[in-house]
Amino acid sequence: MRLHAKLWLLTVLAVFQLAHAQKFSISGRVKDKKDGEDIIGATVFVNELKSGTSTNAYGFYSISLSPGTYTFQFSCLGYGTQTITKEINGNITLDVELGEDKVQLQEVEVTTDRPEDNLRSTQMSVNKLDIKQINKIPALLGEVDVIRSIQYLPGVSSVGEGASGFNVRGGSIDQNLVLLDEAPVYNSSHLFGFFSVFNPDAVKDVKLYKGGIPALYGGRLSSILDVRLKEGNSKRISGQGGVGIIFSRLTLEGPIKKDKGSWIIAARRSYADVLAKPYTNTLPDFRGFKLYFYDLTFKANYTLSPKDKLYASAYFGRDVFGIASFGFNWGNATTSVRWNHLFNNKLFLNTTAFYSNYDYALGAESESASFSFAANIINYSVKPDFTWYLNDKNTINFGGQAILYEFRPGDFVFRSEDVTFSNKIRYQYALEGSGYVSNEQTILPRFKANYGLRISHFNYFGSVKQTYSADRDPTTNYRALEKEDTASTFESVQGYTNPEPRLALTYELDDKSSLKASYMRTVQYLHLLSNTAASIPLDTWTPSTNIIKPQKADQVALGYFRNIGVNNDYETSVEVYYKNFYDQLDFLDGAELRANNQLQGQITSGKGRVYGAEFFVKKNTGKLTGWVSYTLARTERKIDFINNNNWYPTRFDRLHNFNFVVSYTINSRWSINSSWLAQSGTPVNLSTNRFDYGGYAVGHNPGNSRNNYRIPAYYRWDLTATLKNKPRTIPEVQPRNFFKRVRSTYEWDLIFGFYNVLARRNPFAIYPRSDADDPTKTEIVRFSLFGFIIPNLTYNFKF
Amino acid sequence: MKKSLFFTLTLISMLLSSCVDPINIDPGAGEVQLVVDGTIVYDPADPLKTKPDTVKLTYSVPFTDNTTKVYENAAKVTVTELTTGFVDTLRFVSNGLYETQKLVPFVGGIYKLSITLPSGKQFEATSSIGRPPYFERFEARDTNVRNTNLPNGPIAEGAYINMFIYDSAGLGDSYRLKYYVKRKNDPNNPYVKEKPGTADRWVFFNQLANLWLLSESETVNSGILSTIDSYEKFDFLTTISINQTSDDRSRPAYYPGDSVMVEVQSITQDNLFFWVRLQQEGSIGNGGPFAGLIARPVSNVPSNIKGINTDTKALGWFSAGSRVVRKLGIPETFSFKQNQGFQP
Repeated sequence: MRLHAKLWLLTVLAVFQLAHAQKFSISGRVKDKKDGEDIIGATVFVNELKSGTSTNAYGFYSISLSPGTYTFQFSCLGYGTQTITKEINGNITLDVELGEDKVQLQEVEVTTDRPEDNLRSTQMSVNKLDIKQINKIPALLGEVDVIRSIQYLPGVSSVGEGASGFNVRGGSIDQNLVLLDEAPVYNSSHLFGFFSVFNPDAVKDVKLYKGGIPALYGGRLSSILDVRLKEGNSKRISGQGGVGIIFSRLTLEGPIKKDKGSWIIAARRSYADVLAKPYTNTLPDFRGFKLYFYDLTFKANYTLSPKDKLYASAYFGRDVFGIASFGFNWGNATTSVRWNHLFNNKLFLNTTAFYSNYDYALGAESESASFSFAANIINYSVKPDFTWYLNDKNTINFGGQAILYEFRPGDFVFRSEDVTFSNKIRYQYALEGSGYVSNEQTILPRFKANYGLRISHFNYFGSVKQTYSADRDPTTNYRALEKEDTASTFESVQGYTNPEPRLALTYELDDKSSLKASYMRTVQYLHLLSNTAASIPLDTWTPSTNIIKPQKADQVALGYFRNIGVNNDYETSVEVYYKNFYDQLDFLDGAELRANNQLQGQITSGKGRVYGAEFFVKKNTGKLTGWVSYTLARTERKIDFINNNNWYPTRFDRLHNFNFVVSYTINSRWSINSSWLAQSGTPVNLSTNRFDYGGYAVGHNPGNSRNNYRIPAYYRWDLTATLKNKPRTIPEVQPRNFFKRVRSTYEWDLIFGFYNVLARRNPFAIYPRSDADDPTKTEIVRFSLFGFIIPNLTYNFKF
Repeated sequence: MKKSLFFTLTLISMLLSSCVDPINIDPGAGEVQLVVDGTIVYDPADPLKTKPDTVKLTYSVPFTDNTTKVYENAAKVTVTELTTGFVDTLRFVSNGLYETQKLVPFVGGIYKLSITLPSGKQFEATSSIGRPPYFERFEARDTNVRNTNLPNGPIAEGAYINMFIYDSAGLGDSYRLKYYVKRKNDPNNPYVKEKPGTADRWVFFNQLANLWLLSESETVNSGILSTIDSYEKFDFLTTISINQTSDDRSRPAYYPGDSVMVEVQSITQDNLFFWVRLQQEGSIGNGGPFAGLIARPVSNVPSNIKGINTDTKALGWFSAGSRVVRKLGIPETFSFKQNQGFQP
C-alpha cells in the first residue's frame, strides 16, 4: 500500500505542477492520401523545438505551442514526409494527407515510425508490427499470419505447432488480452493455432504490450495485443486477395461517401478437407473428415462532423473439426461501435461499445446413442476513453469501462434409444468496472515518465454459491462440495476491488541511447482452465468467484536501448524483467474441467514467478533487413498439492528462445525471406514406472512430480521467395469504368517457398500410452505435426 | 486446380501418416513400489464360494520395461471380515498370487486386507460388498445395414444387442461391466475372417481406454459410460448398448451363432473412481491420430492400500463387490425381421 500511496502523491503533485503559460493548440488527423485511411503513429515533428508527438489509434494528434512560426514535419512508415510551415497565433486544425514513398517501398524496408521513437518513447516492452513487415515473414503454407509473426519477437512463444494462442513472458494464453478494434477475442486461433482469426488483408496495425502496459488497458496479466482493422478506402472501390493451397481470401473496400466514410469487408474460407475428401474417405479413421474454418471481417466509418466520427466493426468466424462419429466446432463473434468526439483541440474522446461471444461445442454419435455439449462466454461493454493534450509537457488519459460477463459453462444432452438425459451447468454472471487516469509527462528534456493508476472492481453474481471442504478427499484427490446456495441472476455473491498502479520512465543518455524502467500491477478476473497437452479451443473459461480469487501480477522491467548508424540503421535493446504471479490456478491430478458442476473442487491455486532477459537487434535500412532476438527466461509455479508443493516449470517454460527474421530485396521484383526458430523443449508429465493391474499396464510417477520431463528442442527454418509484377505507374486519374480501373491498378505477387526446410520432426508432446493390441504393454510416443518439408505457393493480388 | 489438389493431397497424406510414432527415450525410473490387485466377490450363482477370491502382489518396474515381472511370493496375506471377526489367511499359489481358503463373502460384509512383507512392512486396505446388480434382460435387435463404403452394395443382416440393468434411485450404486464376445467359427463371419484366432473362444473386449463404468453419482462425472439421473425419484432402467465390436455402421455387431457374455460388478464408489482414473490414464493418446493435440497430462491413479508401519507407499486397489454374469447366443435361426427379446 505504501507504494500505491506514493504513486498517488506523485500523480497529484505532477498535475498541480503543470505549466499554465499562454499556448495554442494545433490538432488534426493524418490520413493516407491514397485511400483516406487514418494513419496510426504518424510523427508530427516541430523542427524549432526538436520535439513532437505522434497520432493516436484514430490518426488524431494535438500539440501545444507558444505563439510563433513553426515548421511541422509529418512522416510515417512507408510515406513521404510532408513539411508545412505555419504561423501560430491561435488554435488551429491542420489535417494532413501523406502520400506513398515509392522509393522506399521499392528498395528498402522502413520499419519504424521514426528511428528515434524507440529511444524517446516511455513505452518499453512494446513491439509494433506493420502489416508490411508481417507480409515479409515466411509463413506456414505461404499464408502470413499475425499471431505466428509475433512469435518471432523476444519474450513471445507458444507450446508448439497446434497450440492455441501464445505465451508472453511466462504468462499463460488466457493472460493475453487480444483486442480486435477494442473488442476482446477469446480464442485468436484458427485450425488449432496454425492460423489466427485476423485476416491480414483487413489488418492495419498490430501492437503488442509485454510490459509497462498503460493504465488505459486492464483485465489481463501478461500482455495486450491491440489489433486495428483498416477503415476502408474512402477514395475509390478497391480490393485484394489471395489464392493458396489451404484457403483463399478476398477483401473489398470502398467509400460510403468520398472522403467522408468508407467500408471494408474481408472473407476467408479454407478448403483443404474438401479437396482431400476423396483421399480421406479411404482411411477408416478419417471417414467423414472435416477440418475447415471461415471468417468474415467488416468495418465501416463515417465522419459525422469535423468533431465527430463513427466506426462500426464486426468479426465472425468458425472452425469445424470432426470425423464421422465425433466432432467439435468453435468460433468468435465480435461487434464494436466507436464514436470519436473532439470537444476542443485539446480534449479527445473515444467511446467504445462492444459485444463479444466465444462459443464452442462438441458432439459424438454411435449407432445407438449421441452426446452433445455446448458452452459460451459472452461480454457486453461500454468504454469511454479521454485524451487531454494539456500542454507540450503533459498528455493525460482518463476513462473507464464496464463489462458484463455471461458464462455458460456447458449445456449437454445425452440421447440413446430409450433415454434422453440433459443437464445444464449453472450459468454465471459478473460485472467488471474500472476507472483509470494516467499522465505522459516530459519532466526534463531527456527524462519522461508515464504514470497512472487503474482501479478495478469485479462483482461475481449468481446463480450459485458453492462451498467446498478445506481438505481433499483421500480417494478422489478433490475437495468435496459441502454446500450450494442458489442466488438470483444479479445477486452479488462476491466482490473484489484492486488498485493497479503503472509507471514507465525513460531517460535519454544521448541522442543514440536511452535507459527505461517500468513497473506494473495487473489484475485478471477471468481464468482459462486447461488440462490438455496444450490449450485447446474447448478449454473452460470461468470467472473469479467466492472460491477462485482474481489473478494478480507485478512486473518490473529495466531496458537499455541503443540505435547504431547515421540513419539509425540498427536498433538494439536489452531488457531484463521479473514477474511475480499470485493466485494462479492449476488442476488437481485427474481433474475433469469440462461440463463439471463441481469444477471448483478440482482446481487449486498458488503463485508463480518469471524472470528473464531479452536481446533484440533490428536492421531497418538497406536491402537486407530483419531482426534477431534471443530470450533467456524461466517460468515456474508453486501450487498447493502439486509437485509436492515445490516449484515446477510450466508447460510453456522455454529457457532459450532464439529467432531471426531476414528479408533480402534482390531487385524491384524479387525478394527472399527467411526465418529461424530455435527453442528449448517444453516440459511434460511422463510416467517413469509402470505396474500391472487387472490385466492392464498402468503408468506411474513415484515422485508425484509435475512436468518432470523436457521434450527435445524445437528448431525450424523457413524460406520463401517473392516475385512481384513489373513496376508500373498507376495513373493519378483512373478510368471511370470499374473493369478498366481494375486493369489499370492491378498488381500481384507470387510467394513460393518451404516451411520446415530442415524437415525436422519437432515433437509437440511426448506421452506414454498402452499398446492398442496388448494392454499389458506400454510405450512412449512422440506426437509431432510436421516432420517434413512443406512446400507453399500463394498468389496474391490487389487492385 | 490440379496443382492445388496435388499439394493438398500431399500435405494431408504427410500430415495423417506422421502424427505419432514410438520414441526411444529413458524417462528414468523412480522408487519401486508394491502393487496390490485383490478382489473379494459375492456371486449369487456361487453362494458357497467354490471359486476362491485372489490377491496378487507384484512390484512396479521401469516404464519402458515390458518384459520384467517382479512378484512378491513370501508375504503373509489375510482377509478379515470386520462384522464377524472371521479371519482367512490366504494361500500362496504362484507368481505373487494368493487365494482365499475359507472365506464366504456376503452382502453387507466389510473386508480388511492385511499384508505383511518379509521386510516387516505392513499394508492394509478395506472394502465392503453392496447389493448385487439386477440384470433385467438382453434384447437383440435385427439390423439392416448398408455398407457406407458401398452405397449400392448389399445390405448386411445381423444383430445389435442392448442390455438393461435395473437400478434403485438414490442408493448410489456403482457398476463396472466386463464384456466378452465369442464368434461362431464360420468362415463367412467377417470378424473371424479378420481375426481367425477369435473364433470359438471368449475374447475380452474392454481395453483400458474402454472400460464400462456406470454410476448414479454426480460427483464422479468423467469416463462414466452413462450417469443415472439421481434427480429422478423413481427406479430407473438403464440401457447399455453392447455393440462396440462394430466399429462403424457398415456391418452388424453380431452374426447368427455369435455369443456375448457380460459380467456386471456392483462396486463401491471409491472403487468406481479408481477405475475412472485408470480409464483416464489408459485413454491418453488412444483417441486417434490427433489424440496428441488433446491428450491430458498423465497423472497417478489413486490407491486404497495404506502403509501401517512404514512411509512406503503401495499401488493398486483392494475391492469387494458382488456380480452377476449373463450370456446370450444369437440363434442360428434368428429371423432378422423384427425385434426379439431374450430373457437370460
